[in-house]
Amino acid sequence: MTREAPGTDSSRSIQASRETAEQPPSKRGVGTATKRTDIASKVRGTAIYGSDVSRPSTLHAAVLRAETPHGTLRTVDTTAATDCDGVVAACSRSELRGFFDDRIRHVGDVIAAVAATDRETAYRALEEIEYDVIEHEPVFDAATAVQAGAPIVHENQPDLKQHRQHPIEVTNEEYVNNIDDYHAYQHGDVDEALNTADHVIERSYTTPRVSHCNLDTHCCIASWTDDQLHVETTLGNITQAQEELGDFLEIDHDSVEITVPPTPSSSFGGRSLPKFTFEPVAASLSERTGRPVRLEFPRDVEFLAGETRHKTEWELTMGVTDDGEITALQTSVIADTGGYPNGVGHIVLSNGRDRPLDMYRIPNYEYEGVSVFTNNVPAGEYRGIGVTQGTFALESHIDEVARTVGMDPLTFRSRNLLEEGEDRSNGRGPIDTSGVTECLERGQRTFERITDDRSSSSNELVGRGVALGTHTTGSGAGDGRDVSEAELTMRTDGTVTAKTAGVELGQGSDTVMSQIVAHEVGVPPEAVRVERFPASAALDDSLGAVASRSTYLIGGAVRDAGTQLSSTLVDRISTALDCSPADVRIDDGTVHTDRSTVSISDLLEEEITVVGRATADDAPASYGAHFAEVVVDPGTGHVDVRTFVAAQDVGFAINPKMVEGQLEGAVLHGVEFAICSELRADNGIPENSSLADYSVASPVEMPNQLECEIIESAERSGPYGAKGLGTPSLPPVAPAIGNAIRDAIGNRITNPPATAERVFFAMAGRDFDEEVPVDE
Amino acid sequence: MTVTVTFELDGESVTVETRPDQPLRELLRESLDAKQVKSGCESGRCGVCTVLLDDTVVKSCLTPAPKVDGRRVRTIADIGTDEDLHPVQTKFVDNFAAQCGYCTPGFVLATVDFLENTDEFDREDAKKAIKGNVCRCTGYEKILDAIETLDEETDADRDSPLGTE
Repeated sequence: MTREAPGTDSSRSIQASRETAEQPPSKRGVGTATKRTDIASKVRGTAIYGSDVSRPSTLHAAVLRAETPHGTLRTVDTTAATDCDGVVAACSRSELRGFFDDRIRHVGDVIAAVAATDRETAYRALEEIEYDVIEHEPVFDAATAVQAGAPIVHENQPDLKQHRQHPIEVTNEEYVNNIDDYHAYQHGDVDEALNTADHVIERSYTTPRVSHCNLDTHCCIASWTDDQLHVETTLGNITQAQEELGDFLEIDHDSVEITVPPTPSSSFGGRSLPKFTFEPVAASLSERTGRPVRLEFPRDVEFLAGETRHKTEWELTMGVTDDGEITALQTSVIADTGGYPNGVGHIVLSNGRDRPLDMYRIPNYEYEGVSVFTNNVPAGEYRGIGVTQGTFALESHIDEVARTVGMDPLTFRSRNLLEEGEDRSNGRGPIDTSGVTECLERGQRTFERITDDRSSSSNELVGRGVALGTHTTGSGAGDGRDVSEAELTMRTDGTVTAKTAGVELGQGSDTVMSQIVAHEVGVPPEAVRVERFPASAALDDSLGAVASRSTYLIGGAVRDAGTQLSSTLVDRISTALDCSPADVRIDDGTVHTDRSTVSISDLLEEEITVVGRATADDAPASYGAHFAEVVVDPGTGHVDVRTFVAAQDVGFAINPKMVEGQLEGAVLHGVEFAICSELRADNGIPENSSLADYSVASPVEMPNQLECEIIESAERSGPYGAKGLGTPSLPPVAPAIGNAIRDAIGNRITNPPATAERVFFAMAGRDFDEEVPVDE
Repeated sequence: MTVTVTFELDGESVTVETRPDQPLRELLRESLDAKQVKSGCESGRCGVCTVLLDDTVVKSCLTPAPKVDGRRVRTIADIGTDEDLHPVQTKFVDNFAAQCGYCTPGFVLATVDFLENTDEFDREDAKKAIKGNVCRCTGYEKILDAIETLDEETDADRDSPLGTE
């Protein structure tokens, strides 16, 4: 195994990227629409996902879940349940391993759990459990929950072994209770700038609680071998998950091993980290019974305990000059964490704080964000944590500000955009590669081409809107702390095994990795097998498949390993053939020299193993400019998204078809956020916790015409110029549609989803939610 | 109370015990280990449990298992082979119509049924044909691309839209 000192690899990797960014890569691997390596098993139905896995002598778990949102469990009697035929163990909440206290904090919280020989028996036994709960006054509104006198859901910043919890100092005297996280920041003098601004525009926005609705419901199988816990389940961030689970269960990190099923299913952040009422429950039952225990969420529990996007409330105040220059922005956000933290309250807040400064020049800026515990169902990660919500608020607001100043919203944005090489207003260094201007220009050109010849009938309202969005690639600040390693082994038959920390969740990362190896080494992508290395391996990677880092960082490590493998292979071949390395060309698994053409397998006598490494010294921002045209039915308020153009800077498209697929998927989640989806609750009880009642987008809700414009800004720090795509492509979608609705009806829906009833009321200048209030 | 049903599953006769209220999906997945039939919701919305019952698309989570007695059930396992994919599967491969793939068997079966019962169609017809199936990854675009290209191909081979039969 060859291994270089940390640091040298990444600098070489960056250097290599620079060269490639200037010279378009050849078409032998990257930059081509290579077919997905996993596609055959998926179209044939032979792929085995988390909920398909079964193991010998496995018990089935069922969980008794709270129907009341807030209370203290006084007694839980599992005797009768334990006596049921087929039941092997029944545990009350307090008997579960880990940090379970006697408090119920949301509908769906765990009261007790049963393990039985079959699922039906386990569920039947739940009916035999008797319990007594003292109900407490619940709190469902985050803005109320944070104030003095509110019912206490948790002490401020409880130690529930969440990753990245950080010390906070709350400077707002009104924020007293139930604080999950808090961020305050300012630069310049906002008060002065607002006092002297030509226009000051103030407005509030609310974003809904929404669910990933991954179709493969949560399913895990927990088992113990001596003191070693093994959990098989689909998780994207395995190293972090092992640490959190170990801390929560009060066992060593090394004593937890998480493996993914043969084919992991979609995540969108919903499968990044463990969940309180999931893995720990299965682990406890398995420990109690000494047998493997399988716990699967029914669909309704997905909504109760599978985590949602944080519901947020924003207040934005922007100062501008007469000629459309932003002079100040004051932002306040309150995010609803629900009954338990998922460790990402702080990401909601930091993304809300930082992302506007990646996009616009804002000389005076003040930000305050708080995430708050309530008795609602828990919130957690969902594609574009915080940035999806924040971008909706900001880009809606910018649209209003542009209208106030009397400027075209696109011109207004261009006037205030940060340019490449320009320092951010918070002093955080310059934007390296932006691509946003090209996104705007190409997106607009395509949008106009499609929509210009459209005429509308007199009985429909047509509106057009644009929104920008940006998100950084990777998990953090690009401070070099996030690293990834990859191991490549070429066997003597010429095939290559790539071991990475990636998890193929449908995003296509395995295919991308095989393309990179194919490109660097000169083998066909089909000759590359991509595997996950276990967290116990000597290879380094702390985060796995999260934060749009797979292609950028894991891909960087694979590329680094690929260049090493290529150079070692060429050396070996030139020795074997007694020629100069410069005369060796390897293409499609075949070695070409001036004198001969032979296959790699004819020449390679010993396998070659190399390790590559990439370090996130940067956190490049990816940009998108999205354009929407909507048609509103004035008789019903129904919104039809007729046209959508997503122009997205991806740095470099390693697989253009899969890039399109990511963009189209982002548009779906954005369309839902804009006009379809909301997990409604009545006193903390979700009202639409089934796929029959909760509205997910079908092809009918999708734009009639959807065009993706792939912009390639050649990011110097990413492999071949690539940067993150999955997360950054979502935030601009919903505000583009919201702005188009505003354009169509003359009033703004500030609380998506813009359902037909909300739009119908808004057309008459009325507020549906005030006149027909929803309990919460 | 149990009942015994005998039916043809992917070309083979099976006899199995079930309950009057047991959904076909559960019988297929749990008693017959037919894990190619996926499980996503219990409300008939998502379509991942789609099977063909006497060549008509049904959602097996909403189909009572006793109803299949004496009938023919086809799952994705009976559509194409690894060596010789069904034309619908080939188009899904060519058009990148799957990402995580959990919904794919249902979409393939819905498409097979759609082509069986349709002569000419456009993209709007295809949208209606698959709106009973949910995909969370693709935004449906590439699935519709796959189906659209089938229109051209199957025009020439309209006699056997079920391919492998």
